[in-house]
Amino acid sequence: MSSETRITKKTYETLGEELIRIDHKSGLTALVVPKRGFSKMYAVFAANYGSVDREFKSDATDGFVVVPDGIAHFLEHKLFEGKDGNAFEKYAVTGASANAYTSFDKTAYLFSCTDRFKENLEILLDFVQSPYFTDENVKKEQGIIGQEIRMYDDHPDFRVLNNLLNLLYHEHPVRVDIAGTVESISHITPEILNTCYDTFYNLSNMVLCIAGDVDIDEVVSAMDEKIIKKPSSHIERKAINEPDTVAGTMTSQPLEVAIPKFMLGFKDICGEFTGRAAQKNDYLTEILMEMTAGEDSDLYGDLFGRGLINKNFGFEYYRERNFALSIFEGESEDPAAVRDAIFEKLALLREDFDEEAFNIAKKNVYSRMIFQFNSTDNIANSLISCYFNDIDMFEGIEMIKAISKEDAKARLLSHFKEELAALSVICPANDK
Amino acid sequence: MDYKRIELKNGAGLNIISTGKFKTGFLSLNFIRPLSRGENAKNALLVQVLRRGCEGLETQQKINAELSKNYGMRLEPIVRKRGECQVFGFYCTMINNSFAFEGENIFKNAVTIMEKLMFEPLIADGAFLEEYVESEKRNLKNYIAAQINDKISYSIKRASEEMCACEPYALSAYGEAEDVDGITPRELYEHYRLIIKEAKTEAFYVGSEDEDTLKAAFVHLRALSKRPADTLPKPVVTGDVKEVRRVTEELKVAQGKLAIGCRTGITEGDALYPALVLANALFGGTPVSKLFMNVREKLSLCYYVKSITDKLKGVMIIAAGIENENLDVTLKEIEAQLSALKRGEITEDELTAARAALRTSINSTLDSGAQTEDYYLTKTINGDTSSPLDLLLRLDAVTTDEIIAAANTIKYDTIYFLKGTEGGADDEQ
Repeated sequence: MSSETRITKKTYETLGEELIRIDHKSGLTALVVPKRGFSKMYAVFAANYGSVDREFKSDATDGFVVVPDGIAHFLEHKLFEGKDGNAFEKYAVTGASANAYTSFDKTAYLFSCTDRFKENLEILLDFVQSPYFTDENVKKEQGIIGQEIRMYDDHPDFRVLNNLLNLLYHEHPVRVDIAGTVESISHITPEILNTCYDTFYNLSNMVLCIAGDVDIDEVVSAMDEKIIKKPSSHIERKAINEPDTVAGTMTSQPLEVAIPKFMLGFKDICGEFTGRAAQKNDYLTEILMEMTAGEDSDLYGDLFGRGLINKNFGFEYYRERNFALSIFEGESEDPAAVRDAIFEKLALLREDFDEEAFNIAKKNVYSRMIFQFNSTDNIANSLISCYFNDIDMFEGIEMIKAISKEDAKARLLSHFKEELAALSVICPANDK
Repeated sequence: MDYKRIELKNGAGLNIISTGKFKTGFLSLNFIRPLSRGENAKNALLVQVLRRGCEGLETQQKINAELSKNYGMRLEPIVRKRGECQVFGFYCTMINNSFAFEGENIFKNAVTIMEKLMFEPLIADGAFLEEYVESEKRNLKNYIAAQINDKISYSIKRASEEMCACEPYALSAYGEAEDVDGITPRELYEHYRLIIKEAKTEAFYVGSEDEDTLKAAFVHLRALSKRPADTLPKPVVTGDVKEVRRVTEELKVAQGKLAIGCRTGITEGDALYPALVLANALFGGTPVSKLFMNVREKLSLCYYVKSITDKLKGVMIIAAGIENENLDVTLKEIEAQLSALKRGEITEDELTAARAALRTSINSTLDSGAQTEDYYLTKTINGDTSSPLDLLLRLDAVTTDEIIAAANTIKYDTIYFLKGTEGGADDEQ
């Protein structure tokens, strides 16, 4: 760890963007993308810690510990509360809009504002570094999060994804809902919260990402004033022994929906979930999905014409720190027929890889990258995952341009295999 | 960011919001009609059918291929309800020409494809193609049925329908399934001709292309016949409630959804409007509002609780997701908080917070192309061209007495509860 703060600047000409990196003397890194002309300034302070981190050891623990499911998310709720009131109240004074979210692999605290940036940043840095857990405030949160979990229980979009993950994975903690269950969160205590906090909320395991028309000197001086230097903690996460097979191929859950909802997932067993290789896989996979089922594809035209899909059909490659999957999703009266048609189309692509379709798909993926740079929210949030997972999002548009047909073919053969696929369906409750 | 509405010779509006800050452009072409039962389904269906094929691009796949070649531009039907008007047409988002690999004019192509879809439809024998109409009728009915999937928006929609049962406001922008059934390809085409001839027409562009380029690109829009004088009716606005109704429906869900429909009678043009905006922020518009701090934080009754207003209609909805058995205690607490607001129990901190939150939210509007378009579109319905920043100035001048006066216009009309019955007898897989 250097004792001086270092600031480096990189310009990306084609994209018309600039990235400023602050390696703060405390050990915390901040990434800033100045967006001139935007009113909104957006900052996220994040920890490389999510719901999948349920078994670990660190300087704060006595050997490996297993913590209750949903605790990363619970901790996220609780950090808003401090000894001297909650962070929302402080933001109430400045007018910033504050929020937080927990994913499978990270926890992020954020605000957006149109003025008083430095003050808002100081509040953010302060409250994330001031845990305050009491029996009473833990109990109160169990009631609120209990209602949040109950809300997700009714939500077809959450259920269809969670069921899919349970089909694709045998052991991986991604099988468990991010928020945990009403039962699992009932075991959470201030002590366990402290253990998790001390382990993962360590500057070397965190990053600060900012996008907007901000003053870099203000960022540095807020960090100088507010960052509390602590010895860095060594974190060891228990290795996950996930087999290279799927746990199941099909499931159906009845819920109050009008038309069945489905997700067809392909488990990614390539093992490359961080770094340049993973980034390249992102683009390759998106290009392939675009070629398979993009709106201009024969498959889409055929399924739509037969009434088997509607405008809600879509796809996405979903990658986090230690897992990834490709998802085709939509609404259909016959999800199995959609799955079979996608399988057929993939088989066809393996036989005959259409070069023109490949080039057009590339343009589509390229354009989606450009759209990402339109909003301060998107930029700052993308920066977090990129930092934790060692990816340079600004290189993206050049990487996409350089992708070859051969790369895509190889990825098609290794990733889109029928034996790695599973279909999750939410069907109408009154369907017997 | 400059806003300008150019009225074409035929009365159609070309609205330009010039800005260089985005890497993309947002374009839309809209017809605006009074919401009415039966016609709403036709209008919603119409744009879906138009999106299926046009002269030269006869199938959806050909259209999509064209969009894909243009760097995957999105060009889709958009159907909106604004007050008691229905707005329907297409929107398109595209990357700026400067990002094209080979100097393609993506912007011009976007306008051309949009106009082709809107004004050069496929016609056979004085009717739209039956295949497309029937297929889109099915899709639209499915879409209408699927509105139940999101229980929060569904409960809010049901509360508005019950409250405004005899007003156009109760109508959906997508129509009713039973009205969709009877629409024939010929009838829909005749309706299309009426729309092309008479409906108020407004195009929008948010981006970096200039006025002349935009005007030149819209060939068909300029060639439309003279539009009749604006005949959009003003919405029914009332602040009176004779008696509070209670409506309960059951659904097999885990969490109950409460949505209280209220009348305020205050719309955007009213002197008290800025005070109502503040009253709403104080009551349930922010994470430090009275509802959030008490119903959620103090009593832990819910995860979400909020109040929202409709500035064109003069109504408010209070919404929360709760356990069934907590209905009475939640209602009691919401009423207690509303009474406190009406009595003027507003601290200096609460007021500062409400003002500051509104400032951030209003200042942020123009950072998104889609939000900017939506803001000014709503304005064209009112015939008002004030910017978000004008509202900020009006807010600054609001006094506490005015906030109390505005709060006292909030009257319960309909208490809607979507009761969860999960765990019923036929719950097994």
